[in-house]
Amino acid sequence: MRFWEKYGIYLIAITTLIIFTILTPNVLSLSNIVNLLVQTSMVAIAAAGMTFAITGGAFDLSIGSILAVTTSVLCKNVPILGIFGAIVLALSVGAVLGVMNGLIVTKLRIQTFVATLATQIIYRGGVLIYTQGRDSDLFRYLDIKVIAGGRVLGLPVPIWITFTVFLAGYMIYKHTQFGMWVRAIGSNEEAARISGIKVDRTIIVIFVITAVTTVISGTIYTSQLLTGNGRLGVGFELEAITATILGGTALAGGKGKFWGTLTAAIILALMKNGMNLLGVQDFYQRLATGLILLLALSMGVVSERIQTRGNRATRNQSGDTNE
Amino acid sequence: MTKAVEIVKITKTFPGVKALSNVEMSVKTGEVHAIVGENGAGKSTLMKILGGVYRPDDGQILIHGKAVVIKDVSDSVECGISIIYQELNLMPELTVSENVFITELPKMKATGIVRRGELYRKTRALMERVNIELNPDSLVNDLSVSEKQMVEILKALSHDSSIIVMDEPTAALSNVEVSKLYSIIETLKARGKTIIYISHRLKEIFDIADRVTVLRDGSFVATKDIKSLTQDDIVRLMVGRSVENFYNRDHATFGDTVIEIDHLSCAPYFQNLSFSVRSGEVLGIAGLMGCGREELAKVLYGLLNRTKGRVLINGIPTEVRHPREALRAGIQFVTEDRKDSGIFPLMSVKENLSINIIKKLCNIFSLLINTEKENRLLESYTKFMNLKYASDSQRVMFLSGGNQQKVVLARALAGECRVLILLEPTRGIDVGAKAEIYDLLGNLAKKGIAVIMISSDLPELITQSDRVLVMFQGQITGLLERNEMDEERIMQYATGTHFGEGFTGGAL
Ligand SMILES: Nc1ncnc2c1ncn2[C@@H]1O[C@H](COP(=O)(O)OP(=O)(O)OP(=O)(O)O)[C@@H](O)[C@H]1O
Ligand SMILES: [Mg+2]
Repeated sequence: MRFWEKYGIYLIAITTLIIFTILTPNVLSLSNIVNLLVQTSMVAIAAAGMTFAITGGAFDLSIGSILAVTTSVLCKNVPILGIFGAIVLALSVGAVLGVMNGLIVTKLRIQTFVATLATQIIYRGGVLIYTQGRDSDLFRYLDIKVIAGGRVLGLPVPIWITFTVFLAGYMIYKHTQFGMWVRAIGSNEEAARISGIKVDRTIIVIFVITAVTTVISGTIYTSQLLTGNGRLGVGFELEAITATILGGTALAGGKGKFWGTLTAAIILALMKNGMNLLGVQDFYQRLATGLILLLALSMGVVSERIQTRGNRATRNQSGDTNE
Repeated sequence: MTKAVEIVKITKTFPGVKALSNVEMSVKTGEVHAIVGENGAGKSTLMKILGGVYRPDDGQILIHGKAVVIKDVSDSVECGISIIYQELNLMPELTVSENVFITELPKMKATGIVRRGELYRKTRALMERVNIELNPDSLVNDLSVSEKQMVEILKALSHDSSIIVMDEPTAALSNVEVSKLYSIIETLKARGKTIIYISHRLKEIFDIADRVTVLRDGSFVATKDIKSLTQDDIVRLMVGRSVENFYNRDHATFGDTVIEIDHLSCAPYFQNLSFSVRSGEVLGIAGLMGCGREELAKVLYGLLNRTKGRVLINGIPTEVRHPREALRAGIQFVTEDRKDSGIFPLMSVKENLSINIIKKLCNIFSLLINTEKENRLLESYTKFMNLKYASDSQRVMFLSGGNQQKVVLARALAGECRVLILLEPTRGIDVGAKAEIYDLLGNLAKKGIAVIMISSDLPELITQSDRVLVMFQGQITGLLERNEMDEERIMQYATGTHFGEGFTGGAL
């Protein structure tokens, strides 16, 4: 049953594509596909960071707030620092927020889920204070549109960025010491510590990665919509986590699937896009997305489930007599 | 000779337990120094202080004559100390080579990309040097416990440290692997390394150690030359009294056949096994790593599914596809893999004991647990097995290794059982407790339980079993009666050089 675990996500992608092609031939038009990939890029890039986190046994729930921070910082600072300067500033702010997440987790010894739940609220509060709850916009600085709208070799820039992020992420994950340490920590943190791995530092870097990938997503977002405010990105972390898990990254840690995450992000966008073309109402779209997610998970996770059952049976060799 | 390690007045307290008090000992450069002591004596705690896992409350450590402060694992590695801990500390989702060299991965300078080929070669070279055969690319998750132990050994050797600590390295190893470890130790010693060796198997201490230090209840008792001691002397130092009739057991009379295994197969682990165990009988199973004996135990307990054959309990063919069904049929199982599958580490001693029979401990409405009954159960097993813990709500993960093993055993015994399957039942258990457990086995057999005991400890098998069944490559190569058992014979069958009665045939 390794097959499903490995290729199931791609089969689901192809199936979804075929279904929508039959229902609405427009899905397969070149302009729609390009459009779709651009839409995908924002969730996908942040999900690449989330794949690192979950592989290392960590969650980052604060990225939705970091997205809002990014849009606000950009919109307020492009007029002052110029596009390049504002992006550098946003990246730095993101990195600092990531380091803060990491320090809270490692120094205060708080579980990542709870720690980033707290910082999600704190960062959200911070950005609302920073913007005084007001929107700001870049309608007079249209140059920034080049990030979301520009093309290189015929392909929109966000697609290039996405591809670069995933390629780099995959190389780091698979082929560098840092990547192995992330897998080691997700696999068995105690053993990693005893083996002499710098666990705390690695975890801090993981949070910097989730924050920085989110800033990249946020930059594309801002350049597309040209507005920023403190209320954006609510639920964004869940979209990234959904793509990561649907892509096959094990929640238990230790096993990440970069290309799975990317494919899953595309599937999610494809379903949204397809249903939009079909004129399905938003309410029904949500219902359908949830159901398909459940279906895919129950199929995709089958092999893992059998394994854990085996393990679990060995684990509590006592069995459960108190049924 | 200079001193490699000097421990000066080290004290360490855990909530409710004084694990070490004012311990003083020293280890000479280039010697094999054994540390022995009962379960909970503080051996592992002392080593964890050397390894930077714990900080001592008080005291000093000198390495090669220099006072050092070991704050974390990397400090310890920097001092030239490598430690094989009692409990496995591996990363299951990583490969063997990644586990071994995780902190010293060969990288390309410019990009930081790990050089896989180089990593593979390094691992291979290390394995060749110490004569260990494993595939560097296998996932550690897929290895058996003894193979994992080998990975731990490789990991400790990868740093080329001058001081190597081994905390019960042989607990999970079979005889052949133990002798492999001996030769590794010889080589290390020849290269001037210092080795600290902890084991409950006193025979090993006499085989390889130069000197031995005895700890008792967190205090230093003595350091002696091994040549000046007998086994009894060590036992007396350890427990403060002599343990009598250590390896003797009354052999009960047998009743009817309780469990019959009929042409049982589980591809690819074992084929066509047939044997039976009578009530009151202890059947020992011997064999080397990978011979299929662990899988046999798992099939009998429903953790693995058989591919062919039958299992009969009291003459009735019984399906056991799940541990629940095994428990219902009266089959109890004590695992070898204590840390991963034996204990519920976060639950208390009491809860670990009562979890299997919780229903019986409940009051009339089967809703609330009757604490009084539960306490009585705990009390009786505490006395019965001489369990040591700080309080009955102490989490099992904080018990010493041997005490954890006793808890696992006690839990199996607390449930009703007709067939008791034991996998390495005395692994990591000190001599005093071992004698108690052997007594216990005798009593259980007298009560009419059929016991299947799988063990790598040959003296244990020979003295405790009524018959010994030997396996090699998934087949039975011999079935020995009491008067036929000796270590040499068992090893011959276990290595497939001879076949005896009970050989199940087939191509090997
Ligand atoms: N982390 C911990 N928290 C609380 N108590 C502990 C902890 N680690 C060890 N202890 C206690 O310290 C004492 C010494 O334990 P230690 O593991 O050093 O014994 P040991 O000599 O290695 O025994 P064994 O032979 O069973 O492995 C025991 O009473 C144990 O319960
Ligand atoms: Mg110990």
